[in-house]
Amino acid sequence: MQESASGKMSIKLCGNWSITGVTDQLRFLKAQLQPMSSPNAADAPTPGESDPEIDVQDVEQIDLSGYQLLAIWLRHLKMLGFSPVLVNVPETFRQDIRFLGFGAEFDCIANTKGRS
Amino acid sequence: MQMEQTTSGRGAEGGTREFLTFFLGGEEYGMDILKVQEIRGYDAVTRIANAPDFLKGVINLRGVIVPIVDMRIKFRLGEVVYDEFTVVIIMNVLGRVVGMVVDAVSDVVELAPEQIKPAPELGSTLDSRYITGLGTQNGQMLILIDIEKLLSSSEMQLMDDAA
Amino acid sequence: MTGGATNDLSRFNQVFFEESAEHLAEMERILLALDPGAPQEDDLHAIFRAAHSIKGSAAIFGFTDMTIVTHDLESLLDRVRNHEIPLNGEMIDAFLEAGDAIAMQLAGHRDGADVDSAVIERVCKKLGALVSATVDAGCAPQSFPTRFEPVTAAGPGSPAAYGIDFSPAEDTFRRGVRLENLFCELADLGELQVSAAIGFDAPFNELDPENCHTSWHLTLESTAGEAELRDIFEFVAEENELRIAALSNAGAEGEHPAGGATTVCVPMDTHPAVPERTASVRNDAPAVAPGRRTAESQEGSTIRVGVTKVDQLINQVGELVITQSMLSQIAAGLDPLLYEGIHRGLMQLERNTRDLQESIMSIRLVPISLVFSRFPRLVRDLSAKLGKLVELRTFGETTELDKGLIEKIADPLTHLLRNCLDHAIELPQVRTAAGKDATGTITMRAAQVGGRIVIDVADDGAGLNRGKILKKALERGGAVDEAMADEDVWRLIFEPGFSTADAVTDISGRGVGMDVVLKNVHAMGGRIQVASEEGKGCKFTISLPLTLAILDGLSVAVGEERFIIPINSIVESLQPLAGDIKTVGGRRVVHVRGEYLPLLPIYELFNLETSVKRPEEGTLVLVDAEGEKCALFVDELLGEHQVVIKSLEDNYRKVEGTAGATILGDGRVALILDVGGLLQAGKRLKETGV
Repeated sequence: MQESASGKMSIKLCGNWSITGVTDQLRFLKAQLQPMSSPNAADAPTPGESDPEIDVQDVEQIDLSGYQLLAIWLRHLKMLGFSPVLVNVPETFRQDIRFLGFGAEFDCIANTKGRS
Repeated sequence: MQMEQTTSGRGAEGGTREFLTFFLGGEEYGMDILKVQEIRGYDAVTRIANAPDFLKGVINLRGVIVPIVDMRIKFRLGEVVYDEFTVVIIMNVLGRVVGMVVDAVSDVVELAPEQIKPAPELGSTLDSRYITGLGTQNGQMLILIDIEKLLSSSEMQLMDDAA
Repeated sequence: MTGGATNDLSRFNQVFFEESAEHLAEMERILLALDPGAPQEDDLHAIFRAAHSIKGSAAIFGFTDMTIVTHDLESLLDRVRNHEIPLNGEMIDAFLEAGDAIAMQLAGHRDGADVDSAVIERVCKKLGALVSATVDAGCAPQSFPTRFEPVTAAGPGSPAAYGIDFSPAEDTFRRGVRLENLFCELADLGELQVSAAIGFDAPFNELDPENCHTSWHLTLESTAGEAELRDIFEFVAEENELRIAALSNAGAEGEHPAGGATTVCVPMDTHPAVPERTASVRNDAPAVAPGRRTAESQEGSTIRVGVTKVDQLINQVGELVITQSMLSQIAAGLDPLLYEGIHRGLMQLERNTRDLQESIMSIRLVPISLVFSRFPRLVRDLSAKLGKLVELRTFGETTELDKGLIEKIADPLTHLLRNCLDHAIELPQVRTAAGKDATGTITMRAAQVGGRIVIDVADDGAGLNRGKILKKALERGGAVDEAMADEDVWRLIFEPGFSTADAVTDISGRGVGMDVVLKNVHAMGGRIQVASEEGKGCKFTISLPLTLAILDGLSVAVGEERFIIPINSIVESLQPLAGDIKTVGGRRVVHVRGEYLPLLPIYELFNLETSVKRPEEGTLVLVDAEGEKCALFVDELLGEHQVVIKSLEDNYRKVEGTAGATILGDGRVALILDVGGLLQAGKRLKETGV
């Protein structure tokens, strides 16, 4: 995953993304969304130049509520004009997304491990 | 990182509280208005056997059986008369509806915390356990009572678990 | 990766617990009635369905421990119902044990009760052994289902395609529902395709991530019937959240994207445009109407309603009855000829009101079979353990009781039954030696007698041992003597801590005893009586008030007050002559047709002022409370009414000698007399009065 060094903005997701953790994750995501949604700030990332790379390797557990949250967040990033990319996606994660019918929402999984 | 949480607890709390004031044997009392459900005239009650004398009995309040207590008897405050001024304050206390006979209801007052002083040990008829403080309004003194504590006390014998 | 959420127990859906418990009870009921030699096809299917439902929903709620036992149970059941292996008694025992194990796990999740993992393991082993034993015997050539292999309830016929629209309630995640597992269950049934649509388009800041904002459209090709699909959703989806439609084959083809991609992509714009709504997904599903119809024809012709809602209805109808009787009272003063229309209308209103009231009251009533049905199991297990032969006979199972009472009566009845089994019924050899049938009989009988429900628990065992009870009471320092009447002796067994059992057994002699039974029965406003004959048996009779909020009563006046005497306890009323009143030990009694009955002046019991203090000036109402008679002395009789019982305890407390209060037509409150309670109060009056 050398790409993460290429000047792109990287966001690392970690920890508990199950129903018991999503509220905490929401706070984290809001904080991440904050600079992106205030384009007037000097150091604000701009769409196209610094598309966020979202690393999910350290997500310890995730359930439906976590996938839903992540999907909604990705959607908002896209609404702001960014093209987020999910990287380091474990196979189970991909399977879950497919199985739960979230395929369309997660069209931005990096091809690194072969998109199915 | 900016938190979106709404700031809470500004104003209202810690501020003024409203009290319903009423007379019992020449003294003016105040109770938390939020406990008051309604005020009605004194009607005939159905007596309850072997109940303490201050429990006047029960009435029918729109289909609900409500016990009526007379604090004047309970605390031996003045003369117990039932006339056209006698009113019953229907209260909602601890999930129960209870009526309290008083000589008259006078007003609703707002009291700021600084207007409420702790009550001295009076050794009075009304046990100081049930008095939350003394309020002053336009130079008049109000005895503020903790109606919840009073009505749920064992000496009122209003509830089964109270001896 | 999915999973691992440690859910807060309080989040779990109560419905799951309730319904699982019902499934277990149903399973047990069928099992106990099952004839191992010739099991009914329907019964086997019903048991399988119950186990399957519990398993499925346990998985959905993340109770994986429960799925293990249920899975093993289901595997065995599946083979039995498919006639791969014959049913035998050993299996029924194993099934029952498995049911207990599941119930234990359920209790563990619900109340945090202890779960004995050794028991679970043993049960699983037993079930497994039964399956493999039959496999070894070679009667089942088919592949043996391994633990996590799906057990599909596949029926015959070619697979059908279903379109399922599922919009879970917002609190689905928070309730601990694991939709992942639900989809797994569905996938077990056949070819499943899932597509999700997220219906959240508010600003991100307003997102509550614990809410479910997603709805799903699923297509499933399966041989399973629609009912089976609905079963999977049983605990998860309310009717309005789920639509299942059978797709025509051609339509199904159209539904599936070519190439069998695993995901049907919902048209979901990734642009900042309006996010896709779930509605467009819905439109894909054709033929909603048939789905509806089948939903209605589903076995569930019942709905679950909160008890508070029913109680609210009961109260409101009570109000209506009062208003109606008020109107009737007013109309009684109107000229019947001039106001014929009003009178007719009011009569109609009265009928309608009563019908409405009866219908509503009946909502709360449930048959006592709900309690009785647990006992065959108890008797079966305990008698085996004790080496006794016992037959349980139950009668009057359709007798209906208030739901609140049903819940409370179960414990005392269980206790009485345990006592019967443990102490009363003798061992077979003892019985034969005494010239009795080796098999003892316990009879439970429920009936509505007058305004009360009477439940008997009778046995043909040894009967209460008078000498033993007296000896024990003496040891305990009780004030007893040999001359005591039998009834008084029997009453001693209700003293706290009283037990005559020679050895404390783990069945009933646990120190908590009859006093608890008595307390429970009293708490329900009931009474208990004992009759016993040495060597012949013993009978406990519990009598409970109906606690129907309605009562036929006679209103009487005492001074300024009005009282209601329940009609069903009244024997007769009379105006005595001065000569009929005698005094016995300072107490007045009345002489009626050769009987001397104690006189209870209501004005005295209730401390009332009245000018009528001499019985011959007033009226006596003779009442009967479980065989005890007395004469209530009142000023005068006023009339018969149907009254609505109101609780005094809601806002006040229990008043001795009363069974609540009611509101009369004129709006006044009248107390309803509790005759049995008055008799007790009268006795105390005697003790203090002399």
